[in-house]
Amino acid sequence: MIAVDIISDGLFAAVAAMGFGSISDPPARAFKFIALLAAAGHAERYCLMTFLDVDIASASFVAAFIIGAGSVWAGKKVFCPMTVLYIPALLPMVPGTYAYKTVFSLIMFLQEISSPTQGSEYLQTMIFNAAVSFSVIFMLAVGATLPVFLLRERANSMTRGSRYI
Amino acid sequence: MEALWNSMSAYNAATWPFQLAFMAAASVLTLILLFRPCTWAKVAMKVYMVAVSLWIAFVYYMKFGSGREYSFVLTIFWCMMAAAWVYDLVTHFSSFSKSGKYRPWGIVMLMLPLCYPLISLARGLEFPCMTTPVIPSAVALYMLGVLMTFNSRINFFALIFIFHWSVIAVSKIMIFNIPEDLLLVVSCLPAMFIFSREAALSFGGPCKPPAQTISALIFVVMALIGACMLVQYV
Amino acid sequence: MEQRNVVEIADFIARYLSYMLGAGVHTSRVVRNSKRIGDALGVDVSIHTSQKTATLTVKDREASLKDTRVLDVPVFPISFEWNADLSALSWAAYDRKMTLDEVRAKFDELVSKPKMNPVFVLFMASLANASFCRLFGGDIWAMLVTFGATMIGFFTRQHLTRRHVNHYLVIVISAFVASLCASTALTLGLASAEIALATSVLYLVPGVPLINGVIDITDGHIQIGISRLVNALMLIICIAIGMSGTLMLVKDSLL
Repeated sequence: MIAVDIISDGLFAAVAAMGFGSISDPPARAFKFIALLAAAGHAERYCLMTFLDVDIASASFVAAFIIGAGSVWAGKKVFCPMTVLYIPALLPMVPGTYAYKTVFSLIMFLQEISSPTQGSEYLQTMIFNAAVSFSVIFMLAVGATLPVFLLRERANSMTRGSRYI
Repeated sequence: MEALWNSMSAYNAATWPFQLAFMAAASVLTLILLFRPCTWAKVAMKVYMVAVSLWIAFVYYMKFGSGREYSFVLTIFWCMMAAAWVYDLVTHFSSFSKSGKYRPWGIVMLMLPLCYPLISLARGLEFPCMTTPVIPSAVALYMLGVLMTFNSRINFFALIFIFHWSVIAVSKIMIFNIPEDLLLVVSCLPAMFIFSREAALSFGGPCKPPAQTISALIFVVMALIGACMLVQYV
Repeated sequence: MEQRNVVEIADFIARYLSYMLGAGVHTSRVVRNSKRIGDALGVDVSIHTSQKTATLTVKDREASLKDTRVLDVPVFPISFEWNADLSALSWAAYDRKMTLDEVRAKFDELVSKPKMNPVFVLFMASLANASFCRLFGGDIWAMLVTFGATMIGFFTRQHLTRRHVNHYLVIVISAFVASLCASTALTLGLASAEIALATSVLYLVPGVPLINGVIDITDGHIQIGISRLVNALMLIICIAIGMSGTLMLVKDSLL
């Protein structure tokens, strides 16, 4: 049952990454690696969060690092810069529900502005959710860029000798 | 579920003359468009679509459906459907001219709304407490039939709205026990496939990915949706 | 090399640069690639970038001939394909010692490659949002409703963009339409209706500028990085405005 959960999590993350990626017009050859990286990253984050009780920001950081490192390997195969592969793969990890709750509690705060107790409760929820979504997005980007700093030469010559132009 | 059937019978009992008028107008306009197509009939058809959407929004949901939870959300939804047709009316987008390709299918679909009361009768329901051709799903089905019959340039907004409606409707089959809505779903999925594929292929200039991939994707998506519904239904 | 050649090279690099910046490539890659092409053609290239303009100086190595210009960065839809192909072009120019004419011909060929079919993107995006809904814990009905709502919202966005409506307005309207359609899930009395409502607008989240902004900042291009982040933030605020329209309408039920 656990295996099914993990696999389905990866599968849906892969579909989401390919779909959101296709909005940004990636090369057709990149799709399979985008799917693979997104599935690996998201399933890994799911495992960390469910089984090891890691918080969402650190889990996202580790997942993004895995995606970034994977894109160094995959980028060389399909001659794509790393960003082409890892940005779509990171998109399913963007913390959508936290962002939604930020907006929602902001609106509710404005509605309840006259009642101090409820109003401040909503304000607290808003700050909590905004902090989580901001730090997750920051961690995602930093985690995925880290391999670039570690492997400067290799990371910057991904498209050298491309067969596709 | 009780609330739904109560509101439906109150609606039928109070508005049956109007419903007959709507059906008469629809059949006259359809026949004119089929046999003597002319500009005023096209405009009249679009006006009819706007009118019937607003009717559903305000009379069916706002006046009679107010006892049901969140009925105002559906009022807003049908107002958007009306807005789609107003937009079409203003920009003169869909031409309502026949292309002949899926004609027989379209005509079958135009007939289907009339089956709603028949199915209800066959299920042993009695007049006011039954489905009629002027309930939301039957109206959506009629719109789909019009799109299918006159499909040279179609109102894609309306098509997606109808598709969304069929998703809502199929979940109602389970929750409210209205098997009549199965008709809408069964005709909507293939229609969506046909129209989306044509829209994809008619896009000017070369495109990636190849046409077969797009057709396959659309087919798979529609099949998946159908399968999901079937699994939930059974 | 004569002044004429320097001007020609600067013309080409200006175009290359503006296409790459316009298509949403992060700054350090653009700068690196442009310098590499300059290297291949025997000139030094220095670039200063900001969100809407860029300054470019091309300098011949032997005879100190120069050409400096300020260029506008055009707005293209984000294209990873250009990112990959134009990067590969810079390496090809460097490794194969291509002449300016060859590079220019190749460039024209690459940027006129066909784009994604909009109907394909429509279906992929809707599918993606539906699976996103699943990742957030939605059940099958929430997924189906999200699929339909995304389709309407995304089609609205494509349609309005084609008609050159203001970018921010497009986002507000499509967020409003998508979330309103998703709110029909409330009528079904499902526990997961709110998840459908929350996910229905996520296809609009500007993930690429957000991540690009952070990458630029970590690379030291702090100014343009912050510009990108502010730009993305504006889009997120637009999504929030559109969605709050829906929440205002149906909020009684969410209390």
